[in-house]
Amino acid sequence: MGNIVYINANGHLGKAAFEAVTYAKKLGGTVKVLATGSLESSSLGQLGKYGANEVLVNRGIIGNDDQEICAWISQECSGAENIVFSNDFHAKAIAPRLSVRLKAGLIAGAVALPEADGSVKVNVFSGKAFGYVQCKTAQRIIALLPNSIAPEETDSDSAYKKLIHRDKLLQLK
Amino acid sequence: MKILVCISKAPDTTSKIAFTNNNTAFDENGVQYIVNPYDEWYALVRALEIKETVGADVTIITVGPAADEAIMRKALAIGADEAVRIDAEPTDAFFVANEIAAYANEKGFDLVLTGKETINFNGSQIGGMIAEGIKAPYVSIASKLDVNGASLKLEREIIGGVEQVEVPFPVVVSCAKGMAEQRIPNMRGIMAARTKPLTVLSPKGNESLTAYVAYASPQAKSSVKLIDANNLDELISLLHNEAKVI
Repeated sequence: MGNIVYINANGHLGKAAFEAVTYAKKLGGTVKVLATGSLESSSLGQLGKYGANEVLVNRGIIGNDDQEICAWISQECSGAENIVFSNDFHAKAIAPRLSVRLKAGLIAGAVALPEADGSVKVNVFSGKAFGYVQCKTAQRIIALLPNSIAPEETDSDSAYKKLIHRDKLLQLK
Repeated sequence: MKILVCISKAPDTTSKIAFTNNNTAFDENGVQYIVNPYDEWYALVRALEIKETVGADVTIITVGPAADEAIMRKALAIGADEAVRIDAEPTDAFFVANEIAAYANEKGFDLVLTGKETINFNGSQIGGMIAEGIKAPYVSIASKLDVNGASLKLEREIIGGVEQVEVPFPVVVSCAKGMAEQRIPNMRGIMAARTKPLTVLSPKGNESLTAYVAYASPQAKSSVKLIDANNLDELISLLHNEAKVI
């Protein structure tokens, strides 16, 4: 099983980024982080402590153009079972686009790991209730509500050994 | 300018939230539906303000059964020119967005406005999905919108500040607080709404990708825990592990 996590790395890595990587790691399988922004690769390497096996930074995308970012993620995520975002304003712009482009079900505002039946708990009715959402597609997109799970460091030494840094420039149409 | 405003129904904010059918469906008994506040207060009213200042045709659209026409008439009473209802159960955001995108592609709108989210499902998905469906730029959670010739100037709050964006038409925008102020329909508007065109279209047969399989109510709030003033370790432990606020 492969999981993709998108991180917007303009500025600094916040707690939400570590939560998203932790969540993806707990889904099982490998975790590949796709990042855009100007943050140094050494800082992005911190994600290895939380379970990232690979970090791929696209230095060709400088701003927050969700069409450009969506196009890049869709190129990189073939074969990934889960695509995880932190449910911030980037995710609210990119994840729905990606859902249409990939025809992958989107679970927005997840507050927990999937249940045994594959459904994911989300807040509904403005926090007055919870819903359990199931995807009908093999590939699913999960936007994790910040502060829903605690970031957890894994065996940092082994994670770092597996971490591959690749800075990649892509020309997107 | 042609503006399409996406309207959704939502339970009145004072409604009791309960579930039926073994917690697999929302219990609609005694629930009064309203226009989703983000769709009405911000998206629709801002569209009407644009109509009044630079001129525009404002069409509202919803995906839903005939029962939704009551909320559509209210939106027409506030000032929309015409309404379109896609006659289908709104099974998920993907389905709804694709149905609206298909209509928008046929009619060619300059501006598509949605609320930032519905107050029942809180998904914030429709705007981005429509944008992808009509291959247009999308600005999410905008709090200010001004027409500037052939483009739009927008503002949205981001972490640590406000982002200013300028985008050409056609564009999709999801509207948040600050965009406009609520309007109450007047008697003239209510009377006029009865005769404004409301077109019912058959769905294009798009699929849905997700389904709500169950609902649950949150646990009842527990009683207040009193911690001894000298027992700071326990207080910190509870705040960290139970309340998860530090």
